[in-house]
Amino acid sequence: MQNSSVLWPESIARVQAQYGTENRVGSLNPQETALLVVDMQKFYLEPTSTNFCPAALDIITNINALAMAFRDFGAPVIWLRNIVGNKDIKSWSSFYDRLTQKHLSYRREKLAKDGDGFQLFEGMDVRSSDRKINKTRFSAFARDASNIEKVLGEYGTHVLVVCGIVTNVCVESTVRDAMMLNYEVLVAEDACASSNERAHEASINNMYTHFADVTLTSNIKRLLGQENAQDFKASAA
Amino acid sequence: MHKVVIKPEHIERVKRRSGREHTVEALHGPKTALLIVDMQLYFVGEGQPSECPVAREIVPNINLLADATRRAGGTVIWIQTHSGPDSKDYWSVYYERMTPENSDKRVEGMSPGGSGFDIWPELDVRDQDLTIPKTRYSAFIPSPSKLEAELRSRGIDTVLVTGVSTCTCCESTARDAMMLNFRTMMISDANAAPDDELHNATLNQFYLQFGDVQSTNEVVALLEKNITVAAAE
Repeated sequence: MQNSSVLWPESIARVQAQYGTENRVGSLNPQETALLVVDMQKFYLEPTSTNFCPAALDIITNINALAMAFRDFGAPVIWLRNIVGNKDIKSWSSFYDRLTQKHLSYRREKLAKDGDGFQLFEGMDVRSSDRKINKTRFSAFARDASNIEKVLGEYGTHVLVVCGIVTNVCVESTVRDAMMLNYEVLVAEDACASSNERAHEASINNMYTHFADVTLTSNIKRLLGQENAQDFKASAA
Repeated sequence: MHKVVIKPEHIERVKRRSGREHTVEALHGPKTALLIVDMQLYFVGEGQPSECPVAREIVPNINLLADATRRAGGTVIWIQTHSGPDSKDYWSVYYERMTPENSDKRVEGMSPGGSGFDIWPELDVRDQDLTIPKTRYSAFIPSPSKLEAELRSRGIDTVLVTGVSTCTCCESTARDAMMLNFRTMMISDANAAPDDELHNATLNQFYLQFGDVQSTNEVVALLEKNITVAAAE
């Protein structure tokens, strides 16, 4: 399997020493795997937005391909969206106090439920069978940030494939917390983006050495299929 | 010691977005906790399985910070990883990825009483300090945690994060603290990582998105100012 090109040789060596293999996830069972797409909202993808992340445009195709593959295998596709409600300004003052009044007002207006930055970007192939989850923190798993654990419990999900933006903030925080809550996590490196290429790379390596396996979009489709093929063989025998 | 570099463009970005270079401009002792993450033999000692050599170099800074925190009326909290045999069940995704030898080594070393469990002897742990166990990388998971309960009961709203390693347990603890609404700072020369690149990646990212980053001297000065003010009142 081809590995992501942003993995550093020393990260691969470290993972091999610790875990005895370069890629810990050898197959994906669609019945216990969900796709999490992080924050592909207008707020970050519209060129006119203050928070525009140009690199996010480059991963749309891969994310849509992942979503399609998950649907094909009957596995859930979950779109995460950042949302800002009035009470969050106070309950998360450790974040909002860091913004100037101007930045705070902008974020609050655009990411409100009816704000024009809150919706998923038009380029995203969202289907009616998909699930949308709103979150009020960077990590979807931060306490009271969302109902994600309940939703995953309903699906019987133990394994997460994670993609979206931005790699080093919301993606990485979600991945870190998920792994510590005992979900197996696989990051689709070429379906994640950050406005800072170096930060993307450092984050991917950090997740790979401690929190998640990292692979490419094309491999994930194969991993889903592999498990299916094995089940098929087992039932045929 | 790590060569710390916060990129000038990041400082400019924070100034634009926050209106100031450092979002923590004052510390109130009684509302401040110093968290010292995982400074245990397993990570600090020479020849130990997860030795991080720089961890030995940050010991004097941690002791300085602990002293200043206590004098300012703050709380010093030693976070100690406990990985008993049951951790293989409740955190199976972590252990199942390891080779069996590495997984056994970890449980042996990090179980209470294990060969890597104790806090590094050169650290100045006092009776009035708290020692709180953690069972994952982040001291705030699973949530609610004992750490959070202790912080809330003391009315603490600001946490200073130190220890090992910068990019793993310290960063996860610091990220989660910030998302639980504690004003959070990572102390640049009181954290240790496997190398400068990883150390700086975490500090730059944390400074941009999560909280503040300052040095031991800067933090001690903020605490001293608080002590002087308290004495004058």
